[in-house]
Amino acid sequence: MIYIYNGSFEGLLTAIFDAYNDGEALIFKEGELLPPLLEYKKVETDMRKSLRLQSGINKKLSKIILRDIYIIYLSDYTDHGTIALKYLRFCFLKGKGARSLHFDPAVKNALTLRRKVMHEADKMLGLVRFDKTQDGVYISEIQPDHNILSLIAGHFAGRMPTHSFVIRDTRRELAICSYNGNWVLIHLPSQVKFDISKDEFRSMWKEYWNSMAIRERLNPRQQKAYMPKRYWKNLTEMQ
Amino acid sequence: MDLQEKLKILGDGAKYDVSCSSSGAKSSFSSNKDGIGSAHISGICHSWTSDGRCVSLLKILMSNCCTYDCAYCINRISNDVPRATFTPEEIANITIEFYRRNYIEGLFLSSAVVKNPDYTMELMIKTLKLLRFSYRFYGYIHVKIIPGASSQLVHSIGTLADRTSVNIELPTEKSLKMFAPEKTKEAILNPMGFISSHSANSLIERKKSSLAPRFVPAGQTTQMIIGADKENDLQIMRLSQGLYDKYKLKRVYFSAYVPLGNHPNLPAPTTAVPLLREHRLYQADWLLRFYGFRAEELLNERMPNFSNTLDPKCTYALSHIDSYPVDVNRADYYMLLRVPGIGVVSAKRIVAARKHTRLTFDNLKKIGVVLKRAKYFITAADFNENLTYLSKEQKYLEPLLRDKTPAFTASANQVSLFDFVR
Ligand code: SF4
Repeated sequence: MIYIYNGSFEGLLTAIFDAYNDGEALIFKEGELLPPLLEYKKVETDMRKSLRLQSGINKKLSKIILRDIYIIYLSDYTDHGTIALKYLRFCFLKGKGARSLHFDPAVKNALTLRRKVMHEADKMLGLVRFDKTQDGVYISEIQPDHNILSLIAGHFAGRMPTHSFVIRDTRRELAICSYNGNWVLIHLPSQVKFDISKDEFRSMWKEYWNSMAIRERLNPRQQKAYMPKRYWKNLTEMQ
Repeated sequence: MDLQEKLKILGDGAKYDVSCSSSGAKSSFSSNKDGIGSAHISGICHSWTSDGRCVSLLKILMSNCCTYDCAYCINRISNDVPRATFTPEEIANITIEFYRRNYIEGLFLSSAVVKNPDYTMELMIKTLKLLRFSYRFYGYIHVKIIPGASSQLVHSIGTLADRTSVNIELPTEKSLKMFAPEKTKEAILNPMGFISSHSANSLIERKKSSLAPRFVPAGQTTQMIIGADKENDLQIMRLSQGLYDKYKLKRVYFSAYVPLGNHPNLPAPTTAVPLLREHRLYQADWLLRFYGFRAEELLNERMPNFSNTLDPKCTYALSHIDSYPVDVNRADYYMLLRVPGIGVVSAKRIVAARKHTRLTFDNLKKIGVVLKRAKYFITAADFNENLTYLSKEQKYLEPLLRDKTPAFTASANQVSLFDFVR
């Protein structure tokens, strides 16, 4: 049976709750392509089930494992729901220490996925670029593979506690808006545009960045390995 | 001259400095609500240049108008290059604007010797004061101390910067005399010793009271040019180890000599940059810092240089063949670390996982051990047919351990930085 959840974190937890005893269960997010020839049902998001599962994880397992589930939830892989389900089952079976059993496929798949998401979030801490509008707001656009906005918001809010800034995920039409160190996650349609054409520091940065390369050691392969091409279109220095 | 032009000249002059990371950074000005910046993240890279190096700091020179004449340096007085000097206000402004746009994580300020060391240091101190007190900038600042500066000024810098460095420049006193005649060993080591003892004191004071002032909280580093003279790897490793032991340095950076100089004893301008050697030294440095190795274990007078084909750990393993095989289910953490193919992460995982089960080769593979190398040196719960190589002569094992990745394309300090941050 395939369990389809509505895309919210609570929805995923509800689906895990419902699918827990179904050994054949797969979990998918609404709108994703389903494997053919399998029965499916839509999961009604239920706050009580979601909270019960959360407190169960916190009490019997650990906060870290709940955090794992949240990060897996943010990933872009279609099988993230099923991976989360199998991971939780294994953890409840083995107890708190389950997380260090790296060689079990349930743990390995879950932690690998978690690592991929965290890796991108860490990378974005460096790759976000702001442009200043004439109103003094700092605007950034990104297109991450995974839905990592909520993972990076705190970092930027702490970094710029006295500024107003927006980081928008143009693919998902989501954005974090921060004002005086407090941030919220909002829906931001792509029709909304900002004027950044007057920011003169963009060209200063480009010039500086270009002069940094050492000609005797050119190594574009390594550059691309660290800074994959798909991120380039949002990087000031690559435009 | 406009700002952009200056930035180009003075960025260009600073780029050969390799110490990029802001890892271990804790700002001397703790976190804040009224200013800008937080310096707590371990080495965020913001961009990568086309030579594959990480850009995390605005790396610039205060000035390149040098009165010294170091043969290996592009800014030496006898060289014909465009010259410029920033005002403290200009640097502070660019730093803040770049920081706000998330181009950089902080400032790396270095300088040529303008007039004399003290005059230059005073310019730098003025810049840092502007940033810290006028702009309330709490981000990361690394300052390169000018050899020969008075200890009073070194002290001022220490209260303002997160990290400092004094460059060793060259691995032997002989090459220092030959290529950097105005710099002496003392002029370099004195500030290093000063910083080291003051920052140790500040740590002790801060244990007693959290209000005690910080002093170079992210510690100090140094850098040396390799391949400018004929020194061997053993000399370099011994020196690095001595610096770690004596001055508690956070990092020693190696910089493969780029032939920009014109001294008759320097490599000719057409000489290739010794990138593979630099890579090997970084691998070995890693072993010193995180694997508990000592310089003398890695090299000796009979074998004073690292191999072109083997990484330093494999070289070690082959010359200490009697210490193997290592039983992964029993050996302590440090012995595990001496197995080629087992790194810090996998050693930790092994120690955690073997509490629950007796590890097999299959388990090890999933843990992330590079079995391709490790399999010749370990025993696990199941049979290992590869162990026979240990009893045979070295010449059979050596080809199996060869480093096939073109090492010179990777600058090891960055590859490994990420392994470690994870
Ligand atoms: S002191 Fe020597 S190394 Fe430093 S800028 Fe001047 S010439 Fe170059």
